[in-house]
Amino acid sequence: MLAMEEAASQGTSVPHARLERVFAEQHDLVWRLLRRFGLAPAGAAEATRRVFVEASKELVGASRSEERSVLLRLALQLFQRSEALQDLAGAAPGRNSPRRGPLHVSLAQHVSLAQQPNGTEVMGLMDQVLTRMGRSPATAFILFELEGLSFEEIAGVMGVERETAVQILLRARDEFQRVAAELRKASRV
Amino acid sequence: MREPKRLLAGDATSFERQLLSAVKNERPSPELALSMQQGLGLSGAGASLAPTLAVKAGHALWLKLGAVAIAGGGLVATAAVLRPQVGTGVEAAAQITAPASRETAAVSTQPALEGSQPLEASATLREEIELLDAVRALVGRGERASALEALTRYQARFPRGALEREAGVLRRRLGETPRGGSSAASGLKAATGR
Repeated sequence: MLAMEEAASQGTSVPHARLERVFAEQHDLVWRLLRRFGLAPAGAAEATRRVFVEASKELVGASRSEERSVLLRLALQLFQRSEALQDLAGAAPGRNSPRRGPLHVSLAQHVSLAQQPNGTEVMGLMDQVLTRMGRSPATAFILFELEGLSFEEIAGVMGVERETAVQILLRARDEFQRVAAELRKASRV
Repeated sequence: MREPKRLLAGDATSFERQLLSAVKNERPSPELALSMQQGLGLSGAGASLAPTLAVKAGHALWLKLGAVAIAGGGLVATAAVLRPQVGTGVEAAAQITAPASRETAAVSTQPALEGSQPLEASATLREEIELLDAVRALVGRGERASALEALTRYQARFPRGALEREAGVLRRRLGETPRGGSSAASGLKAATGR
């Protein structure tokens, strides 16, 4: 606490009150993005906490309208670092990733989709779809289709031109629709 | 180029809507939100979730959640905690809770920090992350000697650091035997989940 307060007083960290506000406004979004990247709820929570630790420094000098982008960019960077670590440890996420194999629809998902949708089961399917897209397309897709960000903001978060972000999204959407159709077919009882 | 219309506001099929809607509004549970808040040393002044939950949850839960979030360390090997779930179907549903309990077990041996310590812990963790990021950058540039030197500095500064397992993985990458032998091996196991 003292270290952070000292950092805040030196202008190298945002004031506590601002971090409180930003956390209240944005932690859901950051956590949800990390969940869509395949993290378990508790893992996403810890990753979100780390994002805010780094944000306490990165938000210095950022305007209020830039806060969300800063947080999302930090979340992406954190996740990329974790992927790099897995590479180092010889456990690249893609190694046993669903994107390499056939889509898997469990019996429970057959039932839930054919009868009454079950949130958890359908969520698992959606996460399979996102995993198969690859990181960049999934990022663009999540931020545009699920979180409602503009392309300007998505481009800023991803570090690409706006037009590139649009192209990535359109390809991701094609993939989503293709895989959704495949899943729909597979889930028919 | 015009901005495309969002699927949920446009012509998504009912199945596509079902998929999108399933994840669109997912939120962390109040307990998880509280654990994040605690781990950051935030009071909840900017949110409404803390007061109600604090009363409801009681001190014991705060300590328990604090241990999970704060110990930062247990989570360690960013890879271990941030390992994506690759399971599918029912298996995936089961995994939604499993990693959380593993994490709890992983960090419960560390004492919960009290009072103003969470942010100090965060600052320390940040310093650890920065030091290991520097090592990783040197590894990436092929500067082995400098990387080893930086890694040694990290281990001297944080002999029982929260990211010691991560350091062990880097040391192994550099062709060195991770310090602590078996603990590093278990760290690798934790990092890979195998």
